[in-house]
Amino acid sequence: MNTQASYEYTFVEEADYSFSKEQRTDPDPKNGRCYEEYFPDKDLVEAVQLAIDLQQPLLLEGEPGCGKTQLASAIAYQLTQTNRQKKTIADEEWWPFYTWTVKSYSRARDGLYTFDAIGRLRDAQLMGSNVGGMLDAKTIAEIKDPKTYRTFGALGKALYDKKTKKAPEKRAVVLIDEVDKADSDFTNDLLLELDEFRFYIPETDEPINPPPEPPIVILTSNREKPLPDAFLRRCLYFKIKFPEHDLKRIAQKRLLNLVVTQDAFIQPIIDRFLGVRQAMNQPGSRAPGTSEFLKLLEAVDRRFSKVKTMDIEGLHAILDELPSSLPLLGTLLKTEADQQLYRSKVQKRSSPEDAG
Amino acid sequence: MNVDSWGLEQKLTEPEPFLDLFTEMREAGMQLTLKHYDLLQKGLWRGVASWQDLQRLCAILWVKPSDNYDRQTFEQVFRQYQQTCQEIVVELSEDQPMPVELVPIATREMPQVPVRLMPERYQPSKFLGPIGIQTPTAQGKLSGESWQFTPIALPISIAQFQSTWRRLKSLQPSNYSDEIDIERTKEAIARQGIFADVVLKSSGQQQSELVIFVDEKAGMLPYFPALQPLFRAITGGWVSPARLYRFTGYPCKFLYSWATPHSAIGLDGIMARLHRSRSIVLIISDGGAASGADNPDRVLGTAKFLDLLQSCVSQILWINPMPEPRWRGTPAEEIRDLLEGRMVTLDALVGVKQHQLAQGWMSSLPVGEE
Repeated sequence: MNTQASYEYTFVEEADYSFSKEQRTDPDPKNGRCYEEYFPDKDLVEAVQLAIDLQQPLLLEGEPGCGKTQLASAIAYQLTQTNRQKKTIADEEWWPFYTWTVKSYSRARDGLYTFDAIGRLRDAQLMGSNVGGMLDAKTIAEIKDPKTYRTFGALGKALYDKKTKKAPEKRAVVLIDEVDKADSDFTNDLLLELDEFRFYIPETDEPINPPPEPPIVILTSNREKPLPDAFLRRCLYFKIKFPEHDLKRIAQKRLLNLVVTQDAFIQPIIDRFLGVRQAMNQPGSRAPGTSEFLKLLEAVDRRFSKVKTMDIEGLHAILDELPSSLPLLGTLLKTEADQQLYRSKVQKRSSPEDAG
Repeated sequence: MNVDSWGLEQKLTEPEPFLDLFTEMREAGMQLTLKHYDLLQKGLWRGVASWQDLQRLCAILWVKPSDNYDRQTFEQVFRQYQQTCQEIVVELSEDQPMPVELVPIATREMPQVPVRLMPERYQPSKFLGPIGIQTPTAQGKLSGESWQFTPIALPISIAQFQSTWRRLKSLQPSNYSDEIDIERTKEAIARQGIFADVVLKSSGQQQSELVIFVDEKAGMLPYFPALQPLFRAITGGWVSPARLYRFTGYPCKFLYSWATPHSAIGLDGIMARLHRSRSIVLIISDGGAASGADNPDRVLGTAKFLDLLQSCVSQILWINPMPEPRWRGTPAEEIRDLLEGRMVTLDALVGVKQHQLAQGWMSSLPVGEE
């Protein structure tokens, strides 16, 4: 098998995105991951390919629901497909993809490794009281080895392969999601790791050296907090725009089996959705994004499949219920305040007194 | 020749392609480093077919969500650079007809937004304050050294503010001296290989947060240029966790977000997020000293606010930029008494000796006095 992997992220719609959900799901239950289908614009494809070629982390920003998080799995998915076709990986193999979801309490070290000191203590005491020789020599050797107790995090796995005990052959895709959630020390503590892709484990006295080719690192931020310049300097940056003119294509690709994504029905739903976005376009409100649009389609489709005659009038009747129907509106607007605001705007528009 | 690549091909054949673009970006305020230029050169290996391609490439490499890598600045410099390159090509090839689409006159006649400059990039002699307070720059000799005084020459810089904040938050007492430090206990176990004893949290383990309330009343406006580094230290993520709020006169029921000045935030909501042992509040206001008039409402309102605040936070500092003699007979004097001396002037900061400044200006303030 040719071992030279391909790192081309040239989005080819028909060739690469014709797989069912089952075909996109990693069969390893430990991963339990479905690799997303994604429809990037030309600029985003360019940004991803630059990040891969220049070996720089790519920082993505954009409004919630615009697909920042999905992009990383889409890259892993395409690399899987491309390299399966080129036979650089086995047919059943999946491209290495690791996710690290940052929390407000996350520390930079968590993504590299964790050390189970308590487990080591427990085992050491167990070994000390090895009554009757319960523990065999192999177990005792494991307990004595501090490496038994270190577990690699997402970035650590991408830099060190535990099985081969050296740097991985393939450039794994690493998603560091919502990097702005932690405080600024978090990003400052990651500077070396993102710059040089190496770190040191003091507990085991192990230096993890940079691999010949670094992993493909995708970071996402909702800009809850500004990120330090020192961190930004080390990243390429791309702001994902809302795909207003691509909604039909995205809907038809992502939800191919739904009746409402057919040409005859999709446009009124898009119009209604864009109306909600426009109504919510004000400070303090959150306009729904692409992921909410897809959920709306699924919700409308569920209702539409129950009407007697599935025609455009029936669809309009369902869409007219949007302001009053909590299950439908809830797919788009997540807070009571936003829902009230939308209802009041719809009411104002339909009320002749107010309109005058 | 392709219209989209007019002037581009000549640039691509230069030994250091687009070095002048990189330099112009830096001069306009983009804090690009040689690494950024190196990335551009590597990016060019992938090929650019048009100015649009080049702009996209440069934007991905150089624009970031920060004032130092501002998109607006980037786009303006790039546009001007493209125009210049195309005009040079037109001059060099007068015998060739110039494509109609590229006549740049219309664009040139459009009003151009000046490139945004950061406060520290202003030359002191060029700085223009608001007309009402503009005065000749004071110059003279002090201890054999020439000196100038302008609002932005005040002894506050982002780096000083950041280092001082680190020191200040490290002084923050924990109040929980008998709390087990799990992380350090685990580290000790890992180091020793056996659980010998627990490690207790020493004082200074709690993470402090800085909350700044800035008065926006007219009397404060002349001081805003001087305070810009401080604001940028917060908004730029140099000091974190930290929050900035605006108020006018004295904080009442609502304060206003720094990023979006029109969005009001209830005082109750802000108070609920403060922490008795971790939050340090810095109030920047003249306390009514600028107007010089007595204002009982302001004193009463401020007293209520401080009363509420004191029960929610660890420390309160008040910076009053007006000279201390101007506080007399104004609400500022009464507020200073309420604060038991924790109101200081910017004059006090200017008077701090150089070696004290080197250790951080805020450390000279009466921080821990209770």
